[in-house]
Amino acid sequence: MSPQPISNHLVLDSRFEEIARAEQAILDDMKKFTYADNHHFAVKLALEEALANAIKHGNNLSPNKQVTFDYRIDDHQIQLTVCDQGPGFAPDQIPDCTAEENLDRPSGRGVMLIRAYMSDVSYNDSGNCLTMIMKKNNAAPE
Amino acid sequence: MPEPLQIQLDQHTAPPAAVAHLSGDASNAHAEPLRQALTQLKQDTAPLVIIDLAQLNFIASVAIAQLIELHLALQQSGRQLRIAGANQQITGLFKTTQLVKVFPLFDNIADATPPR
Repeated sequence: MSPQPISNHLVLDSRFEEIARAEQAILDDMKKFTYADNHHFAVKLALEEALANAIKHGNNLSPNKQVTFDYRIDDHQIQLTVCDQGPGFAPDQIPDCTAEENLDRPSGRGVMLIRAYMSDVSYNDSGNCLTMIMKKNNAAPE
Repeated sequence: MPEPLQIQLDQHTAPPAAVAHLSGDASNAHAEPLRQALTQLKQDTAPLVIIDLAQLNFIASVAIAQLIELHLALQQSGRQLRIAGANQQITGLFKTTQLVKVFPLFDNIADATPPR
């Protein structure tokens, strides 16, 4: 019998140290289901990048702003939503970091990694709320 | 629990190479100690710098950015960066980002070190 779906809601301060708390919560809950090591790596990577962007670029590391992280896990997929209190951004404006001319640019890989490792990625209209879905039967890159 | 990043710097004499052994998680929370260690490697004079990832479980884009900055700095002074020992998931990440075209990846430190 499949375990019951698990949902959780976390409120994080705008500090990078908070990312570990969020990762720990979801990775612990994933262990209650039959997700593979590659799924754990994919969720940790996408969440790390999404929270880092929210904390740094969204909330500008402000101690007066928070990031919310919601997730829902069932036996078929994991949905993660990260929202910040910033003005939002246009993800399509980010240069393609895999283009030959951008390969040795140090920054700009976070959003690309999220898209590569998640099955579905969408932003709200204002661009400050990111929803990611990882389907169990979608293999993460190896 | 995510493992804290540990960094150990080492010198090989024959052939001369500076080696940084990373273990744990290279995440945003540990970006500053990694930056400091890589700055030390930029200031080193060894013609070859090897980053040993054999014990590294996880790497975030912030750490990748730091490796690219190190690569560019070494390139400017005619030196070379090589990455060794990355696990399957980290190797996959380097392939996904096309960074295998920037950094040569080697199975281990011995393979990354040119013969004497």
